[in-house]
Amino acid sequence: MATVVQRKVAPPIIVINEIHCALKHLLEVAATLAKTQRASREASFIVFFCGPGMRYNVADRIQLLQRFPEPTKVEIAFNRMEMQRTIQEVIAKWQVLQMRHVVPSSRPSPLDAVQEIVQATQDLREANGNLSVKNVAPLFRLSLRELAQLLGRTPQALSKTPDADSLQDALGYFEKIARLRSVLADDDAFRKWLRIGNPTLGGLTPLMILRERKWQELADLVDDVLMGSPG
Amino acid sequence: MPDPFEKALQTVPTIRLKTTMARIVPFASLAAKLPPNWLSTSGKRNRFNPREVHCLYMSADENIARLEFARPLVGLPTRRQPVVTFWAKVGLGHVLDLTDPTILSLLSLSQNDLDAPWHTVGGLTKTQTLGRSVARASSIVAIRYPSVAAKEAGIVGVNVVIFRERVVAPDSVRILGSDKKPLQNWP
Repeated sequence: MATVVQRKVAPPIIVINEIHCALKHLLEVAATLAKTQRASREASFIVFFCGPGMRYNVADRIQLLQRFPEPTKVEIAFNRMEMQRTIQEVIAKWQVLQMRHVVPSSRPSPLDAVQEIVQATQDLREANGNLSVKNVAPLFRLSLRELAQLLGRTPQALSKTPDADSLQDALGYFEKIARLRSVLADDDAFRKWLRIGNPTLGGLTPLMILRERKWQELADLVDDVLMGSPG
Repeated sequence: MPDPFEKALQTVPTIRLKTTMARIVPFASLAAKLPPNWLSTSGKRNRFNPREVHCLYMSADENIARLEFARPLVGLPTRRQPVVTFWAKVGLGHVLDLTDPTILSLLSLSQNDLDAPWHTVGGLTKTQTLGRSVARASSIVAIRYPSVAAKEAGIVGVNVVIFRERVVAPDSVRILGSDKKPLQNWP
């Protein structure tokens, strides 16, 4: 019987090798997997490999699929060839979804027109004017892997095109947050600010908020500081 | 969804506020526009207003304004650059005074509600809901509330949030300049 290992971050594709397993056991595994699918930010694809001896009718399949919040991301294969084909298809679907991973651009700020403040983050841009992961990662002291996870990309993709047009909306939030450097003494103070519990955030660190992907909220906080707005 | 404050705001006592208030802003933010827009409002949400409700936040004095400015910077060293303190003389007829425990009780609000962090809260906080109600339908022009930054510094301090659209004569907000003529004013 398959054992489902709980991980902090669910992998994009989970394959369950449950050869010759009765539907009853499969449903038990499905309950755990459904929880994983529900808890993760992006629901994992799940592929069940049930082995050539097994056959499930429509009612069985409905019983299995209805447990999942995203049944369209669940596949069942009954032989090795079918399994190979299914996994290839799922990988392709996952990659297409990754490419479509769209982050809305940050809301306009009254400070967008303030040259001195925008100048404070000029070093995050490449010569073509695009923001680059290559410059953002060290400023925020984030590994490429962590930044990739935040941006919903692979580290390889970020390495290949660190200033891709498709990254600009997401990196725009980081640029707005980095504007805080215009009031802090230096980059080191900015990195400390990211990692110190902040009373305006209920004691959480800005980095925690960043990891929760509440980027607009953090950019707004920086705006408030730069506008001297009491809160 | 019914407005939880609508009824209470119709009868809650208000005070008249005639005082001078302060705010501290980095020079660069102000100097972007000349003459500076001292009464700039972003329409972004803040402690007492949801998005699209334009408000001006000021502190009761320079010391509180300094504490408010420093609070999110958590004691880290700041850049040596010009920072501007400016003052507004306000005369406001109907101000909701949340430093008064009786008023808090009438609105079913607690001190914790006033002090609660709001930046990362998904929906509207109680204070933002109150601000929305004030902006929608009431004669209230501003809310006076305890400064959390002052409280954290171990002193008593007050801030005021003024709802731009509600400032009509004889109410006034005048940014003080070098002579009697205000640098900018509402209404």
